[in-house]
Amino acid sequence: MNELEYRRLLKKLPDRIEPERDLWAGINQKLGPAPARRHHERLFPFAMAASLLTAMLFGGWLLMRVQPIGAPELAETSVRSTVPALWRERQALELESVAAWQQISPDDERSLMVSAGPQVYAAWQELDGAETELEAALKSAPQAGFLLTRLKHVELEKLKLARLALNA
Amino acid sequence: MVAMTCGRDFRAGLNPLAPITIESGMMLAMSHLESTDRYAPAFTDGADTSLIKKALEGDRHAFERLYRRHSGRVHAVILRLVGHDRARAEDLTQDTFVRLWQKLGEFRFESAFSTWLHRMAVNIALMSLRGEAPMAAEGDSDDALADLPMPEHIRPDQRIDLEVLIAKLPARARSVLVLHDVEGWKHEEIGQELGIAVGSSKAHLHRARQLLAKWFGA
Repeated sequence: MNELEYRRLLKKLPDRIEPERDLWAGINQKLGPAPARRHHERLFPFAMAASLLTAMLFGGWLLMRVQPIGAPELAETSVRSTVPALWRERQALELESVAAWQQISPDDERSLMVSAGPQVYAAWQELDGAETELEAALKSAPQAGFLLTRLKHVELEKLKLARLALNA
Repeated sequence: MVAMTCGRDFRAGLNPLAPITIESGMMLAMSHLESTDRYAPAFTDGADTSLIKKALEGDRHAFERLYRRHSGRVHAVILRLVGHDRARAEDLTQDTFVRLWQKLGEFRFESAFSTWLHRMAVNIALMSLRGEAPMAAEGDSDDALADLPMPEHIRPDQRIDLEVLIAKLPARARSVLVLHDVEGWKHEEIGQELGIAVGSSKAHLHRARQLLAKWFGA
C-alpha cells in the first residue's frame, strides 16, 4: 500500500458510526438534576465588586504614597513645574521687601510694629518666627515647593503688615 | 524514490499546492502533514447553542436532541480507539453523554461544541484504555511492533478493510494513528492527551503506518 492508497482508504472511513442499540434510555436513567452552571458565572458579580474595592483601596494607597497629606506639592512633576516660578516670585518679593525695609534696621522695624499696636506686633512676631523656621527648612529641602509657597505667603503677610504699620 | 504531486484534500489545513514526496511501494511517515480536526466547525452552530441553553435549564428533551445530533461522531471515535469493541464503545459513549450532562455548565460558547464534546469522548476512551494493562506493555515497543503478525482472520486475498486493521494495532499505536490520521489532531495535542513526548507520538504514528503497510502488503 502506498501513501495515496492509504489516503484514499482514510477518506472512505465514515465520520459517524451510530451505536447498534439506542443508548438514550440508559443515558436518561443516569442523568441527575439539571447541569450546574459555571461557578465563575455565578460568582461574577461578587468578583467584580471585590476587584473594584481592591482597585480603589490600592489607588488610594498609591495616591497617599505619592502625595502625603500636608505636602501635596512634593510630587516630582509638581515640583519640576512650580519651583522655578515660586523662586522667581520669592525673589521679587524679597526685592520689594528689601526696598521697603532697607532703610529700617531690625530694631526700628520692631519699634514700628510695637507702635502700631499690640495686635500688629503679635502678628509680626508670629510671621517673623514662621519666616525664620521656613527659611531653615528650605535650607535642608531646597526642592520642597510647598515650603516655598508657605514662605511666599508669610512674606506677603509681613509686607501687608509693614504697610499697615507705616500707615497707622 | 519517486517524487510526485497529488491532491491533499484528505486533511483540512494542508497546503494543496505543496508537493510531497512518496516512496514507491511503501508509506512515508507523513509526519510533515500537520493537521486539524477535520470534522469540527469553527463555532457552535445555532441549533446546538439553543439546545445547550435549554439543556442547561434542565430540558432533557433538548439534551436528547443533542445526543441524537452528536452520538454518531462520538461513537465513531470511541469505537476506533477501543479497537472496535462494540459493547465497550457503547458503554463509553453512554458515559460520555452522562458526563456531558454534568459538565455542560462549563462549556463556553467561544469554541465549537462538537470539538469540546469530541475531546471529552477521547478523554473518556483513553482513560478506559489506561485502566487496562499499561499500553506500552501490550506490544508497543519497536521490536514488538515489527514482529506483530498479520491478524489471523484476515487472509491476504481478502478485501482490505482499513478499519479492521486499525483495530488490530496495539492500543497506543492505534490511539496515536486514530487521533492523528483519522481525527486530525496535532502531535502536540496527542502528546498532551496521552502523556507522551511529541517525538514519541511521531514515532508511534510512523510505526503504526509501517505496520499497516506491512499487513496490506502481506
